[in-house]
Amino acid sequence: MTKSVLLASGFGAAEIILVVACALIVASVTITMIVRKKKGKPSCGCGDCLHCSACCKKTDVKEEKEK
Amino acid sequence: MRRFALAGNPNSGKTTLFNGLTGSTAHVGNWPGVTVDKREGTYKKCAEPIAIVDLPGIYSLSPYTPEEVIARNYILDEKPDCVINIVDATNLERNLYLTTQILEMDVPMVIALNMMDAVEKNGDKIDANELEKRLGVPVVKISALRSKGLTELMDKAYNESKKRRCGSSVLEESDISHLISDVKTALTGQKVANPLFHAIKLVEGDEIEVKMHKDVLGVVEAFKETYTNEIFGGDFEALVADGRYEYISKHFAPVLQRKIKEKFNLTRSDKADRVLTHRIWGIPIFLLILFAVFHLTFSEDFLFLGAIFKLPELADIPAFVTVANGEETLTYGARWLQCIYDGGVMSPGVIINNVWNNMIVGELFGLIQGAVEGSGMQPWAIGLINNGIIDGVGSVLSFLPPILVLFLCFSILEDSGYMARIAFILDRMFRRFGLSGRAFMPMIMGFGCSVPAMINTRTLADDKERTATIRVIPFFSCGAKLPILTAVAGAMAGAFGVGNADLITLAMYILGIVVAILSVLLMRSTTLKGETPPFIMELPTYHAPQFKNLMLHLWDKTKHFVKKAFTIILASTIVIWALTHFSFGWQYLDDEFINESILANIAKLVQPLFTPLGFGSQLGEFGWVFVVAAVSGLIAKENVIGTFSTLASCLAAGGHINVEGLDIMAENGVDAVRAMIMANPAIIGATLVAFIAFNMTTIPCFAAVGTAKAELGDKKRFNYTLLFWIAVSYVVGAMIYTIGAWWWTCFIWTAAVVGVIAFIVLRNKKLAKKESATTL
Amino acid sequence: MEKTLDQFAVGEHGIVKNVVGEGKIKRRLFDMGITPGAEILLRKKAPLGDPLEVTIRGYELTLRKTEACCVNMVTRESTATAARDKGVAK
Repeated sequence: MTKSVLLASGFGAAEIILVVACALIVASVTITMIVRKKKGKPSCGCGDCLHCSACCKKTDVKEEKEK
Repeated sequence: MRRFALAGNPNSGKTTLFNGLTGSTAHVGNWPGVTVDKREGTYKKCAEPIAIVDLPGIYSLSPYTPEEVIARNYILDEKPDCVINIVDATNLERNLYLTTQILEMDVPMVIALNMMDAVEKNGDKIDANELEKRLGVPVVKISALRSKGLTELMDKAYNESKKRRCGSSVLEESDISHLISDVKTALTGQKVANPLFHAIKLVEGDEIEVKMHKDVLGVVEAFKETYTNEIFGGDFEALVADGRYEYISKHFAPVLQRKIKEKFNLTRSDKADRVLTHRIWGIPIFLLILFAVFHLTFSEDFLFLGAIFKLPELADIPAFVTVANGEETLTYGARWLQCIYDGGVMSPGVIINNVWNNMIVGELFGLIQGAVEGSGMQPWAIGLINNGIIDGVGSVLSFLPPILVLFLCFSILEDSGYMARIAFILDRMFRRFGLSGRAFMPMIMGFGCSVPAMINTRTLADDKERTATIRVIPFFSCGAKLPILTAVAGAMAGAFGVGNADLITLAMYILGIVVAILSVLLMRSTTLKGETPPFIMELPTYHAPQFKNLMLHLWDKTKHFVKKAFTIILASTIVIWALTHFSFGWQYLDDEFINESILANIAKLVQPLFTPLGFGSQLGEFGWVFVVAAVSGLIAKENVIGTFSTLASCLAAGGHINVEGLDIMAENGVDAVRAMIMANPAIIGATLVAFIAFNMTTIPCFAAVGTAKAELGDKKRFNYTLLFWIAVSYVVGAMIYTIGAWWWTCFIWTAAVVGVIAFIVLRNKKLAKKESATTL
Repeated sequence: MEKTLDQFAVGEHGIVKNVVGEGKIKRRLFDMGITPGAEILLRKKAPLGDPLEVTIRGYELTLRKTEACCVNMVTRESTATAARDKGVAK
């Protein structure tokens, strides 16, 4: 059998951590992307802040207001 | 919390002041219109924290460009507690023109007289107290660059914000003052806020006001009929503008005492300008600078020293070679030397690149991969970490140096003020294609990232020009597409021994520009027909680029790039790896069976579509890798090479491709592509060029798509834009591949192109005839 | 002598008499300070003879010939030739 069922291939602690970490990364990135899209912020991540700061616009003004 | 808005002319130093006040590191450029969106920050050194809003730079409150509407609406609708009007003291008259308009609003204001240091350096003097008396609002001398006078400015602004101020106008002595007061009374009766401002704008015949206050318009119309002026006739707009400037020259300008009385003297900036925008040498100098930028970034033979002196390669010098395990390799010291010299002196960009990739990233990731392999984890886990994550993310990270060097060069050109001159030089050419030189700036910015470039099109006054520009911006290959270019070009040069990787890269950039220009021409003569928009632009004075500014820019770029590699790219590589290691039955597949995976099966379905472009069915078994790479680019263009590296790595591990003598991760993913090329004889040079061209001109990453949607506004227009991108990339890719594979197809393409041109020309002639017939 | 701004030679200067033409362009010209009475110096022409670079109210402005022909100028022959002699090459 060269095709092996994942579970049958054996799961050590390291493998479990790896899978959980990967799942967390993918989930958190997807969620942030959706949230940013809803807020209307581009998530280009280009760092070309010379020309636009839409992605890293300071939001502390609004946050402080809420306080 | 109190809110203060910063308003002023473009390039008057608003953003510098904003940074000084808020401790933020927003960036500053040297051409008018860098800030097109408003940004917010907090000033904390006052009695209470104050929110500072940086508005886009504007010349007037009459809506000419979208950014002027943003600034105007902000002051009118959001009612800041105080407006800090920043005035460039070196350019007093024109800056005060905006001031006279803000004065008409019922909002507290303070004037920040910026660039006082530059004025004093010229030996000129400005009597700020006198100006304050004449304007009726506080005037504070500041130098935003050296953070002088900021505390005083904020204290005054804070005091003002507690008071109420009623609008005042400089037009009170003019012929139309009683018309203005009549309209104002009518508007006050309707309880309109800022009655004076609205009254004057209504008298000017401002589009927005006319729509808003139709009922009062009668008063203006009635007055117009009774009034004539020998210079302006019934043109109130001219009358108002003239009234403002006349008042400024009479009452405000005298506060400036010039040391040199002559009006048009030659400054250092003018001297530089005479060379750089020379009638004959201007364009060659521009091309030379562009070439120098690429040479500095990519050339492995800096200043052509290697070619001129026929220098030997390191591997040919015995002193640098040791024999380990029966193989000849370079000594450790020689490997460092190789970063700087190998048969030619490397250009600075390549040196940084080599040090980063060969000595830092390569070694470090090699160590990690070794450790993972020896950790005793399951083979699939090792594969996920080593082939999936590290090869994918590493190949993307390896592009940090060339991206940084390229953008350092661009920011130097921009910060110095040269970019604005390029618009001046190239306007004539741009006009042929139905654009103004103004459109050149967002396009050049597209080399950095399409998102800010698309946002910046707000500085364009003409709607059709804006749409056309937004559509072609992705063709200006952005930083994230650079990896595709260099990796594929490097692989091409390596595998086929054709040409020089740098030249292929530069040629691809130029291909993008050519496609952009042709598409604009096509759009402007079919769907987006219109008059060539006007080109009226301020040219900023040259100044030496600011080191701090440049470093901030580089730091931002680095920060975002690394962050992106470890978020979006990382997540994408994990997903790609997972989708290529599971079958539809959620059964785990070893690297050997990657061809039966979910992703492979889906991609194989789509694969035939790309046959005309060279990376479809003809590539056989593993051709789907190209399709997957191209599609993963829709998330982020860096993914294209990341995916390539991950998949090549997995294919190698599964024994499907031979990677002997190649290092999948090293040298910017070049070898990953090279391994794919060597495994498949169906891949020819034309396939790769078509692949680059397709990726460069197709739908950009989804962040850019989102921005395009927001900036275009219209849903239908956006859908057409998507269609346009797909069509262009498909046609361009197909054209390159077919001509490259079968040279005689160039006749078919030529015939097709001529046919299309003839059709458009004939149709336009017919339409023009019809139009002239209807107007007659 | 009267002529439009686009007919100026490099180094020539004069005073704006009036601005004619279509609404949006005209308003922009006004906003940028090209109003009757303002002094303009034609500093240079771009490589292909167009657009023009002028100095007005102490700053540099670029505009095309098509926009410049909306601007009617008054020059005095004597000042014009003097300016040309001295030129920007001064």
